[in-house]
Amino acid sequence: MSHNTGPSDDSTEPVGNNPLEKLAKAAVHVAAIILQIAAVALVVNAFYRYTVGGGFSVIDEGTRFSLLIVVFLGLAGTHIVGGHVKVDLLLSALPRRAMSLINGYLVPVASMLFLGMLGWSGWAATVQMYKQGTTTPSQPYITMWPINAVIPFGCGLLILILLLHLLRRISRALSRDVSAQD
Amino acid sequence: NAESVTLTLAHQYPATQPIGDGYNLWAKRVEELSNGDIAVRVFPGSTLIGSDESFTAVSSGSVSASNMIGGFQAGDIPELASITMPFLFDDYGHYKRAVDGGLRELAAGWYEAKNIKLLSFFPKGNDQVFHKSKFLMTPEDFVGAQIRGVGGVSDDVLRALGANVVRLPTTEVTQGLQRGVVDGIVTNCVAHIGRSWHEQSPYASIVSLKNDIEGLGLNLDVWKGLSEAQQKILMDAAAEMEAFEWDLMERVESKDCFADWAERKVNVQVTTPEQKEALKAKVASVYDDYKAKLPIIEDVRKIVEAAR
Amino acid sequence: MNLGITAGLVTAGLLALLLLGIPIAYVLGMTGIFGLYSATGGTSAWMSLTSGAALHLSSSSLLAIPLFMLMSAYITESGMGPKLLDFTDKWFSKMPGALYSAALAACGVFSTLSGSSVATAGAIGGVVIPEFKRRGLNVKRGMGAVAAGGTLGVLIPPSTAFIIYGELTETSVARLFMAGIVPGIAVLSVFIIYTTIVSHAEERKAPPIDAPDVTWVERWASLRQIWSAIVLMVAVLGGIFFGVVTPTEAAALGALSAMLIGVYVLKGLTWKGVHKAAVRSIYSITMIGTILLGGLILGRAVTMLGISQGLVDLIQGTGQPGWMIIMWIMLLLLFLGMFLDGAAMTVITIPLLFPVISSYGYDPVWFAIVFVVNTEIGLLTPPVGMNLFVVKAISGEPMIDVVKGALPYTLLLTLMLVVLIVFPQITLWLPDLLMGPR
Ligand code: NA
Ligand code: NA
Repeated sequence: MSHNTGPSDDSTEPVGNNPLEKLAKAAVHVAAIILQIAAVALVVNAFYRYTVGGGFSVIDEGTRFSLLIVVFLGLAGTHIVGGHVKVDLLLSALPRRAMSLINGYLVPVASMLFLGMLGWSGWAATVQMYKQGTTTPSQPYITMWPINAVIPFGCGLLILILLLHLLRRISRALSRDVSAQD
Repeated sequence: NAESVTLTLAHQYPATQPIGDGYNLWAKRVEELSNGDIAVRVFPGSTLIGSDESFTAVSSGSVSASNMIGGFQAGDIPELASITMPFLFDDYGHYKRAVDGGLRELAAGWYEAKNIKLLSFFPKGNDQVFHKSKFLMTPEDFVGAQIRGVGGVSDDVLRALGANVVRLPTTEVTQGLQRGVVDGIVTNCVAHIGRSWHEQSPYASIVSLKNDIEGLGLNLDVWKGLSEAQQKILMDAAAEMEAFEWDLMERVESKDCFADWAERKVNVQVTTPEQKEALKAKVASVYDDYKAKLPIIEDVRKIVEAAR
Repeated sequence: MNLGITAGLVTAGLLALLLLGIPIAYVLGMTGIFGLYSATGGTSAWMSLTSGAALHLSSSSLLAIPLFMLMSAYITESGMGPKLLDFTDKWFSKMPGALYSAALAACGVFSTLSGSSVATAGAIGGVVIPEFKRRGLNVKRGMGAVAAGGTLGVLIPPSTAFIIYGELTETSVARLFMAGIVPGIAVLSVFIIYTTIVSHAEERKAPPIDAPDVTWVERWASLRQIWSAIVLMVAVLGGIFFGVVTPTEAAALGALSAMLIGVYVLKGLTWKGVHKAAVRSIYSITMIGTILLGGLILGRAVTMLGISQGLVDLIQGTGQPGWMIIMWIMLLLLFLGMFLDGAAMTVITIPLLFPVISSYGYDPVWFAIVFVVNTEIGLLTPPVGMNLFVVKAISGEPMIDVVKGALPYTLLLTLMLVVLIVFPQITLWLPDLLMGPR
């Protein structure tokens, strides 16, 4: 399976205490807090409707961003715990060295390519929103760019972590080669 | 000899909604008038993008053209709120005169500043109030009513009238009315009938709180890349489309909806001039609130007054 | 480009990338971006269509998804799984194949609290699969029961699948939830009847050694352990069905109640555990959210490349009767379900199929159920079967054994699919009764 095949197939790196990895974990905690706050806020809103009437526009207009925010804040942390689903049917049939090459190099590079394109498009949109002062179309007219910024943030963070892991792997492979020559 | 181009047009109307026919008409006429030099690929019914994305998609050029709905774009162009203020227009004749008398130019300027050429401008429909058990004709009727709002200026108008505004996804309106999450809704007559909301809200109060705007927006770079002859073709087709949409909206709101309501046994009441004045007075504060951040409201008012 | 070539290229690219072991969400998104890029003539138009798809995650109708997942995480963390299993185990104890049926029934009950199939299979599987091993039962069939029972998570309300379908087709989520109940119970019953018959035959040959003796007093007493689950279920589903709250608010209320029940009633949840559960839910939400996003991007590419319209025209152009169209669609979905996750399959195919279904006058609520049963089958078919993945991860058994164990249930589910297609009343009866006909 793909969630926790363990480190044996080289698809996830053992996690160190690098600042990037700490940031990824912290982002997950922030996401968890945001989601729980949204849940409480929505209950408050429903309760308010039955007691006082109406609702809070900030809750109506703000909570709907929870999924977007959580997904991108959680992106890097989910990779670290091996939580992105993938197919390992063909890979498991390959020789160990080929599997290790694909998992260790090709998959992270391909992932970085996608995350790069997604993050770039998100970055361009964020800059556009910042320049044009885009808000939500309704009260309380929430400024959009800080919300949209989670897209380039999440993608960028994961790219850096993938890059870090890739470099670690390359340096390990190099030192193996050196020791093999000795 | 003009080069041939292919334009993409994305809009949100499925084949069942006549307003979409105007967009399809534009596409068809452009191809006809250009003898096929300009091809238009149409993506109807939100198959490509939703109404909340039309602005960004056209402004950035990922589609050449799309429908611009004022209510969805007040976050992109705050000035749009000034045209969707409550009780701005007496009737469609007045609205049309105001559009020709300066509103079109104003709006086109706002869009152009954000890289969109506004090719046509027409009404999106009057916001009416539909309730499960009573008419809402006077400010007093609104006090304490739980009304599903559609956001933007519309919500401020409801709040100024003393109603409690509740947000509800479109898909949950029927159930929300049925089980009392809300007592009433604000929408135009087409949606009230088309979405079968009349079954749960059979009291139609024709208060015409405000009229939203809609139009066909084209990416400005695309526009500039066309020859003058091609630009003229686009404008001519847009003029035909605009005439179609004005006629449609006027006919629908003055005749068709009433006929449909009668057939569906919906109770309909239209505000008297006195009731309208009372409502108008009650929502004057909305103008004051918006005036602070949108000085353009004064200009809009002048144009509207001149067209009266 | 020719429709067949375009569609073929997209499918081939998708499969190649999938088989290389690149995360599914990224494969969908990447294929989508390349599709958009080529459809828009190599311009930068793909960019705002891509970022627009990401922003679509902030649609208010999708908000219920993370909240239901949060609720599910609280429940799992508070130890509801073992209590549910203990309850169903006691009730089925005198029947042949007791633990298989108990596992299935526990999945069914858990499905009323969880909107996700993977979460259901995970929560019940984590408890019951070790128990199969301990009691020396047929682990293969046990894994099959958990994988299959888990699929009920999206059929029995609440369900993330119905939330996504409702968003895409403007169908009332409350109505869809209601429509899932009877088919859900029917599928569960068929599963249980099957295991009972098979086990009956087996146990006649070799009676089970370790059959616990359970009295009726114990059975009723075990109900006490799960009363909070029942309260939660009634509160959430009742809240939606009686329209006191919207599905989104019900999800928030359910999450909050699950947390309070976990802390104060079950006492399995500490305040630290509350946050831990929320963190765990973030991983699942990110997983489903990215797949949803990848599917949205690919869906746009499919539209822009003209595949959607081409396919719709193709289907309608054949002039075949409605039931033939449905059959073709089912075959297409069974095929796609092998490779695509349910959420991705929904966002890619529904915008394409829904106009066809509507043009033939089929009921959107009925089609939702039929569609979701298809995605359930997809959860059980290799190479991409999320429930297979989950059960394999829990059990540590070879994938082939999980697939074999799930096979009979997959066939039963396919049989039920046919039944649900032929008898729309099974689906529509309850929503029509409670909400009035559409
Ligand atoms: Na469920
Ligand atoms: Na599958």
